[in-house]
Amino acid sequence: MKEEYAIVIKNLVKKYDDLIAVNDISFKIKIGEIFAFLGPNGAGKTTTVEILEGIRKKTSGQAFVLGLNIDKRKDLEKIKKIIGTLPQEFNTHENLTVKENLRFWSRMYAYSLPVDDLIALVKLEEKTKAKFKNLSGGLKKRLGIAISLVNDPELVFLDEPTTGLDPRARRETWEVIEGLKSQGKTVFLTTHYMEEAQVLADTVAIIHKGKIMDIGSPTQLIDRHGGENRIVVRCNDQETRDKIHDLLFNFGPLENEDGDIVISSKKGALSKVVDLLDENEVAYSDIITQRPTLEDVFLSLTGEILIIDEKSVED
Amino acid sequence: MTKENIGEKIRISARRIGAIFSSTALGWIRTGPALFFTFIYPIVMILLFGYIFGAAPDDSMYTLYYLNEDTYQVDDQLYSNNPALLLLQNLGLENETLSDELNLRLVDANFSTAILSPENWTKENDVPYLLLIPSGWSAAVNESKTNVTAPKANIEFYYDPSYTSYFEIQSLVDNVLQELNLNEFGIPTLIAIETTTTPERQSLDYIDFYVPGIIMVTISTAGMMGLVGMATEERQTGFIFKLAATPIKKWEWATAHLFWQAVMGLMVAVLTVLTGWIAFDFNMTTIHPLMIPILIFGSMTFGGLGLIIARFVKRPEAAMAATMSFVFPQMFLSGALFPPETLPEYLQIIAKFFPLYYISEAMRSVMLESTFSNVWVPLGVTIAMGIVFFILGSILTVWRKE
Repeated sequence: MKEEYAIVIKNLVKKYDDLIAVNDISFKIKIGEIFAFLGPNGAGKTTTVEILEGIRKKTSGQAFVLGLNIDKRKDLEKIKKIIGTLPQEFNTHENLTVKENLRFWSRMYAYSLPVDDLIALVKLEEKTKAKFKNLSGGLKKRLGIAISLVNDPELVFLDEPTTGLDPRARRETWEVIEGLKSQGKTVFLTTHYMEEAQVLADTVAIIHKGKIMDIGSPTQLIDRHGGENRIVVRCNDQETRDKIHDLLFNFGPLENEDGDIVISSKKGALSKVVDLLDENEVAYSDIITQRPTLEDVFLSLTGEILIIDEKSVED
Repeated sequence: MTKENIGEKIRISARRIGAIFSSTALGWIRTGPALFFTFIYPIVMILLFGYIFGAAPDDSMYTLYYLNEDTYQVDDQLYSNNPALLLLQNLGLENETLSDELNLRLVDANFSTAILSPENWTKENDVPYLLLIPSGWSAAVNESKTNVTAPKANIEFYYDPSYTSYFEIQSLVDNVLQELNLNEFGIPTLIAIETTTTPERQSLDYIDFYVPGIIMVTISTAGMMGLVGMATEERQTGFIFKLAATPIKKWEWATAHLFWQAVMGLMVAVLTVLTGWIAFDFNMTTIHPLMIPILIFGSMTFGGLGLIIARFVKRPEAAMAATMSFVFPQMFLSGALFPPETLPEYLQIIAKFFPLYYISEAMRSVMLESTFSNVWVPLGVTIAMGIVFFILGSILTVWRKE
C-alpha cells in the first residue's frame, strides 16, 4: 500500500543538557507537497531535519520517513537511499568542477540520474567546468540542489536553500523548487523567509523556541492568526498625515514604519475612507487594501517580529 | 541473501570507494601546495640526512685552532727532537693527506696569551676549540723522558661545550698524544683492531641505512597529519555530514582514504629511493617486493591513528598539535632515524610503544638483506597494527553531529 505521508513525527524531543532544541513536536507531511518549516535561527528547524536525515540523535519521540522508522538501523539505511539533502552549510570538493562533483555524489548511490540532466535542471550548463570554489553563492546552492537530486529521491530536504542569496538568485532557486513539486517529489523546506514559505509551500509549520506554534496552509494560517485585511493610506508630508489621522480617528488609525496610515479593513470601510478623504480634499498619494501575511501570523503567534540574521544561520 | 546481491553490494562499495579515492586524488593534484610539500618533504629529509650523517664525510672537516707558545729549538730542527712540532704534524699540519684522513684542519690562532687569555680569545673570536702548547712544553717532554719524577708535560685544550663535536676532536687529540707517548718510550704496538664488514653489507653505505627510516618517517607523518587534517576539515565544512546522509558506509569512506594514503606512501618511497640514488648513489639492490605490504599496512596504521586522534580532538588546530606531539617523539625515539641503542634504557622501553618502531624495523630488515631473516616478526606486527588501527579508526569515526 502506498504511503500517504512522507513524514510522520510524534512527540519528537531533542535536548542538549539544559537546552531543549526541539520540544515535543508532532506533525505529518503529505506525499508530493512542499512543506515549509518556518522559524527564526535557533528555532530547532535544522535539528529536526538532521534527526530525520539520520545525522543527529533524538532524545525521545518517534519519526517515520516514507513509512520507515528512523530508530531502526536497516530502515535508516533505506531512508538514505531514497532521500536527497541540501544541508544548510553546503560544501563539496572545492577543487572539483560542477560536473565532477555531480559525478562524485552520483557514485554514492546504486542508481543515479544522468549528470547532464541534473545540470540542465538547475541551469548550470554554462558552468560545468567551473570549480566549486569559484562559483557564486547562488550557483553553489543550485549545484547543492542538483546534488540533492542525484539519486532521484522521493523526498528532498532543503535546509535554508536561499539564505544569503540575492533576490534574483532566490527567485531562480524558487523556480527549481517549484519544478521539484511538479515532478511529484515531496520537499521539506526550512526557511526563515516568510515570503519564501508563502510563495512555495503547500503547508507551513511555524516553529519557535523548539515548539510548533501552528501548522496549515499559508491561507489557513493567515485566516487563523493574521487578523483582518488592512487599508493603507499613503501620503508624502507630515501635515497631510496629521490631517488623515484626525479624519480617520474613529477607525483607530496606526502608523507603520514607512509613515503610512493603516486601519482595519472592515466591510465597507474602504469606500467610506475614500469618500471621507475626497470630501475633505486630502492629498493622499495612494490608498490600497492589504491582506495579512505570514509575518503577521508569526507576530500574532510568537509576539515577536522575525528578525533575519544572515550571518548566524546555525540552528 | 543471494550471491547476486553480494556481488552487487561489492560493486556498489567499490564504486563508492573509487569515487572518494579519485576525488581525493584529483583535489590533491589540483592543490599546488599539497603536491609540493608532500614531495619536497622526503627529498629534503634524505638530502639533509645524507649530507649530515654519511654520504659526504669528506666535506665535514673540523677546524682546530692552535697556539704554539713553545720556543724549544734544536740545532737540526728535526720533528723527532721537537715534540711540539711533532704533535702538530701528527694532527695534520702541513700534511694534506693526513689532514683529509683525520677530517681536521689546523689553523694558527696567532695571538699572545700575555695580552689575551685563551678563554677570552675563543669567546671573542667565536672559536669552539683551541689547542694550546704552552711555553717550555717540548723541554718538559724531553725532561720527562729521562726523569720519571718530573711533572707531567700537559698541553691545554679549550672548548665550547655547546658544540657537540668537541668530544670527537678531544678524542682525536688524545689518540695522537697516546701514540706520541708510546713512540717516545719506544713501545711497539702489540694490540691493534682488525675490522670486518657484516656479510652482505659490504656494498652498503650510510645512506642505505637512512633511506628505509626516512620512507617510514615520511609515511607516518604524512599519513597521520593527512587523515587528521582531512577528517577535521570535512567535519568543519559539514562535508562529512552531507556524506553521512547518503548510503555510503564508514568503512568504505575509511578504506578509500587509507588506500589513498597507501598510494601516497608508495609514491613517497619511490621518490625517496630515487633521490637517494641520484644524490648519494643509494644501493638499488635493497629494493624488495615485501616493501609493498609494509607500506600498505604502515599507511593503514598511521591513517587509522589519524582517524582516532581526529575523533577525540575535533578542532583542526588542536588536532594538528595533538598529532605533532605524537609524531615528533615517535620520529626520534622509534629508531627510524637514530639507533634506539643510543637511547637511555627507559626511553628504549618507551620506543617500543610507537608503531613506527616495528614498521621501520620491518622496512630496514627487508631492505638490508643481511637481516632479512628478522623481517617476519616486525612485518607480522606491522600487518596486525594496520588491521587493528584501521578497524578502530573506522569504528571510532563519528558521522553524527554531537
